[in-house]
Amino acid sequence: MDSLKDNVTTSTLSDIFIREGYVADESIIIPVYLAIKMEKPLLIEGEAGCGKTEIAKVLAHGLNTELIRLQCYEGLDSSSAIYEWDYLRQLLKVRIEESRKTAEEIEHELFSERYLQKRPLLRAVSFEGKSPPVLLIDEIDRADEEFEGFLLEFLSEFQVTVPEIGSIRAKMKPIVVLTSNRTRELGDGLRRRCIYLHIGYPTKDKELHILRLKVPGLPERLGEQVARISERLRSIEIQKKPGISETVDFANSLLTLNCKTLDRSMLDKTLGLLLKNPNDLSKVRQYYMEEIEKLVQNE
Amino acid sequence: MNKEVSSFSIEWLTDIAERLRAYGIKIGTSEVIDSATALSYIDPTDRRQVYLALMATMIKDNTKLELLDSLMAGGRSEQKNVYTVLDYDHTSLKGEAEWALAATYSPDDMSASPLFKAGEEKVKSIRLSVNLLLRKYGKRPGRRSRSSRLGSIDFKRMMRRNVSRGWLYKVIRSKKKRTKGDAVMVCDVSGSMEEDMKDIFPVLWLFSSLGHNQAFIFSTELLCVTHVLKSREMTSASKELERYAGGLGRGTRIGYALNCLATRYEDTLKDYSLLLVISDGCDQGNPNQIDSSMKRLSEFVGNIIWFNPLADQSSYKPETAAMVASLPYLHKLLPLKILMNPSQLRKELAQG
Repeated sequence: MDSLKDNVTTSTLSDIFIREGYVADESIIIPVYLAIKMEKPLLIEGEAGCGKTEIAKVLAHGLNTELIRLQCYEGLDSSSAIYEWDYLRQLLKVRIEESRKTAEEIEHELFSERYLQKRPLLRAVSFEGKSPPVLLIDEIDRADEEFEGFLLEFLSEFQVTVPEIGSIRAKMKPIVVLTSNRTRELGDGLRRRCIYLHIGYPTKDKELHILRLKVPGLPERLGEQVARISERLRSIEIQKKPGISETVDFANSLLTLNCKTLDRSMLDKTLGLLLKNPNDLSKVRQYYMEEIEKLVQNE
Repeated sequence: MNKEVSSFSIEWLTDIAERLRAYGIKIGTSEVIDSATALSYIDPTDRRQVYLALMATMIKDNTKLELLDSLMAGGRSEQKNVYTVLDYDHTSLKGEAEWALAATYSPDDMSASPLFKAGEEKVKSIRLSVNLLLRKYGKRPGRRSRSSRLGSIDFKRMMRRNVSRGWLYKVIRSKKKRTKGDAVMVCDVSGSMEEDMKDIFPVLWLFSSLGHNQAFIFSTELLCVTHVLKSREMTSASKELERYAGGLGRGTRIGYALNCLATRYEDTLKDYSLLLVISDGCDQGNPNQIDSSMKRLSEFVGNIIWFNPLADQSSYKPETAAMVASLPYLHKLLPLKILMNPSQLRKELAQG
């Protein structure tokens, strides 16, 4: 980690993002740079589909290291996040060895690293590679507050404790990326430990740039139309506004359908790729279709 | 790029942190340390990088980012670009880094705004009016003063005196305790109130210097300013307030501000408090929020009096949504100018 921490600069990070096809301006690069430099977790908040998880993937790929992912969900507990004992193998071992060895000998062998199933946090801590791994703790807002509390210790010490083995401290501090869709407020303790980054919806020009990178072969005019529609839809009061991933999917599907330019009928057929809520779809179809059609036609 | 953070930067950071805390953003010492560390890793001559580093290490809430925008942009000063405002003595600053930080934030620039500049000629009459209001409503009905107008009997002292001095029987009463006025003033400093600020500022300043009173100002955010107005000099208090409240927006969210008062500063409100609101009632927020906030506040405090500068005109009718929502909870709706006329205020208060 020392070498990465010492060698990383904003320009090297910028190069990595460009190389990996992620459109990142200074507002993204500076917090990522500070997180690596200060060895602190990076907390990324923003709407779904705006590229939060992608940052961790890009970092792992760009730095040529492993991406360790912990997907959070309601009811996630520390055992699923740190380690579990491989009970079946332990049982098998007992059956095989019970006639040959004493109980103490078998017990000593059973609770060794060989029978430990490493879960993401332990894997990140015990990682042995040239550069530190990227630990992605995805959608932390979906996990319970208890788990968030447990995570505080891990994020400040980068150490986990297995009672039968002892404490394992990270030789190289992993690059930790936490993402949140803000379905619930995260605790102050967690925020305090992190470097904060908020990713909002992109501007039309930035989105067009993303489309050019992510959807090669997309006609310029069609890309412009897609970016304009997404921008307009985000300004409407709807429940689920289209993110960048929806826009990319929309553009990809138009390309697959061999569409050169958007018209009303094509828009009607494919609008479901941008709006994934039936209420939003009916609202836009009822009140905004004509306006969007005009918007698309006015080059 | 990894330079040591100078004491100037630390001072600047703590100042920014203090002002952000006043807006209810929780910034601990660890955040300030993180910000200082972050500043040492970036190019401090690049204003954009300084801004992004502060966003990442200090604010940590995208809904509050606009506050940093306004603080770094120099608050209400609109005529000058932040990079042209360099009233600092450059020779006293050690390096280019400090020079750039000075460029991002200049208290001199903020105090140049005419917003809080106020005349002193009306101070006397305002002092009288504020005292009148506090005497009428802002008193704590202490138990001792309620039991008897002469003061309650002090049995302990009475026994001791009668026995030691050989008196047969003499009633000793404890002296009535004069309680300090406990009142809260919430003052609208949004764009629409700018013309009235020369009248409002002395009121705010005098009010916060009396008793245990609390003074707040609001536009799009609520800000407690009692400690800022403690200066004995009105002009220096005005400058200090200008510097402190430079980040407030120009819009008005009365409901939000009152709701903040009822929730964030609940402990400053007591059942005997007098709540004074100074606002023109021109609101950009939701009237339902004003209604619910006023209802909540009316449950907390003794009386609510609203001073409206628009009510100075005889033809004024409280017809804005904010005023309509507030009226049922008001003890009195008075014109702002009445504060400059104590005799008229006395008459008004005598009517009950």
